[in-house]
Amino acid sequence: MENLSKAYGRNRVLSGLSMSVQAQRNLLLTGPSGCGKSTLLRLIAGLETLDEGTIRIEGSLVSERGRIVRAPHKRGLAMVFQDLGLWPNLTAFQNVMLGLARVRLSRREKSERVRAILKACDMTSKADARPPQLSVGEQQRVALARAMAVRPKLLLLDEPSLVLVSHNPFDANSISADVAVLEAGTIRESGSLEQLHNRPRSQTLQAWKNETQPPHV
Amino acid sequence: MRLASLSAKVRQAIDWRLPVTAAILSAAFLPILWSVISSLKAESLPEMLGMLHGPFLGALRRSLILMTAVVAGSLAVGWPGGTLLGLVEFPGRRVLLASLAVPLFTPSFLWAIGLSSFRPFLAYRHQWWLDGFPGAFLTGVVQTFPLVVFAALLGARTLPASLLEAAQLAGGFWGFFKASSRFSLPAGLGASVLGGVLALADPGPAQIMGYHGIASEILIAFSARYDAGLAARKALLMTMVLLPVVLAVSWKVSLWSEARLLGREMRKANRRFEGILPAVTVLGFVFIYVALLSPALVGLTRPLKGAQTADALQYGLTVLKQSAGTTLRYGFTAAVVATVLGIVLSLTCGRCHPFRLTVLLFSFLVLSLPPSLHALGFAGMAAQLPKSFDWFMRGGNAVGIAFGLRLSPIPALFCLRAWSVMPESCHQVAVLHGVPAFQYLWRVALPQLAPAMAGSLLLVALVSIADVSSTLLLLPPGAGTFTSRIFGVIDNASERILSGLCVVYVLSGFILVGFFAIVEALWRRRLGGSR
Repeated sequence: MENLSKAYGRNRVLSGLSMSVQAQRNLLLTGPSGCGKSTLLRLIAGLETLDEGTIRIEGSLVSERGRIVRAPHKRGLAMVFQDLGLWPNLTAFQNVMLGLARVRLSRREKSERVRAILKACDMTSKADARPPQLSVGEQQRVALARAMAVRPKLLLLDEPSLVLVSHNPFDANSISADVAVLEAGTIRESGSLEQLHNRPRSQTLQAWKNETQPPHV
Repeated sequence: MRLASLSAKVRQAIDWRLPVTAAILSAAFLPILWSVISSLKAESLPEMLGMLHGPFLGALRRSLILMTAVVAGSLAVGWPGGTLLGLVEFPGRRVLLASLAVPLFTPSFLWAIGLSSFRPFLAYRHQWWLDGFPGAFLTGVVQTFPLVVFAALLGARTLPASLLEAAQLAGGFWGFFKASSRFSLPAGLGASVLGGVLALADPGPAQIMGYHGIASEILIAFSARYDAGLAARKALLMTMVLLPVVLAVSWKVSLWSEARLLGREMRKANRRFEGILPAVTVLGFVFIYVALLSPALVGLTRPLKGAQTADALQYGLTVLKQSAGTTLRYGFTAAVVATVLGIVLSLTCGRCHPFRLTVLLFSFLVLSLPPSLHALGFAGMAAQLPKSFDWFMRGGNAVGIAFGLRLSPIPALFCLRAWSVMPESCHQVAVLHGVPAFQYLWRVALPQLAPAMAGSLLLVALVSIADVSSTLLLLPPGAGTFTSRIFGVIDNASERILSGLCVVYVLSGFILVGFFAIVEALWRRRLGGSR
C-alpha cells in the first residue's frame, strides 16, 4: 500500500498511508476509534475507491486513485465484518455454502467443505439454524467459517477482538505477532509486538502498555 | 452529508440506476404533468384563476376547511394511538391492528352512508351532528385516523432500543410514551395531511352528507357536463391551492423518513409493560376507536331488520359475485404494476442518499396530490396516444395500470424500508464472495423483501378496489367494480338494499384482512423466533 488517502467529504480519514503486510504473517492493525481502521480494510477489500495512492496484492495492482482495478471477489481475500453481515434468511450451512458461489467445486465437494469448516468451528449442531436463532458468539463463528471456507490468501477481520475474544493488543499475541498502529490517518509505528512493547511511540500503545503486563511472544 | 461525498455517490449510481429511477418516477408523474400542461394549453392561467369566484370559490373554501379539520381530528386520535400501539405489546394487539386496517380499505362513502343512516337514532335536534360539515368531518376522520395510527406506529417502532430504555429508566411508562410521541409526530403528520387531501378530493361523503366541495365540482364537470377539460382545470386549480402545503409536508416527511424510517437495523426494545397506566391508556384508545366506528357500523345495519333482510344480503352477494371478476382484475393489475415498479425503485435506490430522498419526495408528492388529477391526465393521454397504446391505456387494463402507477410509491416505501434494515455488510459480503447478482437477488434480497412485497400487493389491491373517484373517471362503459356499483345506486336504491351491499362490503373487508393476518402469523411462526 503506497501513499493511501481517503476522505469522506471534508473528513480526511487516511492521509498518505504506506505499509506492507508479509505473507504467512498475522498483522494486528490498531488505533483509537474513528482512526480509519475499517476504512483501510474496506479499501484493501476493494469496497471503496482510493482518493490517492495504490494497493498491490502479491505485486499486482488492485486499486489505484479513483479506480477499482481488480474486483473484490478476484482479490483472493475474505473479510469478517464488524456486524458480521450474515444473510438473515439463510441457515448457517446455507450462509457458508452461498459464500462459495464462485469457488470452482462440484456441489458435493462444496457441501463437504462446508460441513468440515462448520465442524472445525464447532457449529455442526447449529448448521440448520438461521442467524436470528443463534447467540452472538455462534453468529461470529458462522461468519468466520464463511470467510475461511473460501481459503483466502488474505483474511481481514474487522474488530477481531469481538470475534476472537481478545481486547488489548498486548493480549492479542495469540493471533498476531506484528502490530501496526494507525493514528491521525497514517501508520504511527509498526513492528513486532515485542519491539513495540519495549519502546512504544504511539499514544495508543503507551496507554495500553500502562494497563498491561509485558506479553510473552 | 457533504457535497463532495454526495456527488461521488451520484456519480457511482449514474451508470444505470439514474435512467431506471427517472423512467419509473416519470411514468408515475406523467399523467399529472399531462393534466397540468393540457389545462394550461386550453386556458391561460389568468383565465383559469377567473374561475375562483362564486360557487367554485365557495366549494374550494368548504373543502379546505374540511381538509384542515380532518388533518387535526385524525392527528389528535391517530398520533397518540399509533405511538401507543407501536410501543406496547398486549394480548389482542394484532387483532386490533387488523381491524384498524379495514376502514382504510373501505370506500369513504360507505362510512358516510352508515353515519347518515345512524341519524334516526338521535333526537331530531341533534341530527345535525351527522349532517353537512360535521358528518363529512366524522367520515374523513374515521377513514383517515387508521392511516395516522399505522404511520405513527411505524415511526415509534424505529426508535432505537437504547433510547427507549433510557427514556423508560428516566420517566417510566409516561416518559417512554412522551419520548416516542415526539419521534412519531412527523410520520403521523404526513399521514394526516395525506388523509386530509384524500378526504378533500373524495366526492362520495360530500354527496351523501350534503357538503358540496371541490371534489363534487370536478365529478359534476366530468360526469354530468361531460367536460373532461373543465374537470382537469378545476382539479389543477385545487392542486395549485394545495401545492404549498403538500410540498412543504412532503419535503419534511421525506427528510425525516430518509433519516429515520430507512435507518439502520436496530435492536428491539422490550415492549411489555406491567401496571395500571399502560393498560388504562390502551383501553382508552380502544374506547375511542369503538366510539368512532360503531355509529357508522350500527347505522349500516339499521335498515336490515325484518323479513327482507336475507333478500338484501342476498342481493349484496349477487352484486359482489357479478362484479368480483372486474374488481379483482383491477385490484390485481394495480397491485402487480405498483409492486414491480416499487421493487425496482427500491433496488435502484439502494442506500444512495440523493436517490432515496428524490424517490421519497416524489412518492409523497404523487400520493398527496388529488387522485382525480392523475386519473384525468391518464384519460387525456389515452385519448391522444396512437391506437397501439390502447391495450394498456384504455379498457379494463387501463384502470389497473393507472392505479398501479399512482400507487407505486406505496410498495417503493415498503421495499425501501425492508431493504434498508438489512445491514450493508450483507451486500458487501456478497460482493466480496462474488455471489452472482441473480443468485443473490433470488436467495437473499427477494426473500428479505417478501413480507414488504406481500403487504404492498394487498394494500395497493385493496386501496384500488375501495377507490371510487378515479375508477369512475377511467372505467370503460358497461364495466363496474363492486365499489362503483354501490356508488351507482346510492341515489335510487332502497335503504335496505344499499345497507345489504355495504354490509357485504365491510364483511368481505374483515374476512380478507383476517385471512391475511392469519397467513402473516403462520409465516412468522414458520420463520421461527429469534433469540
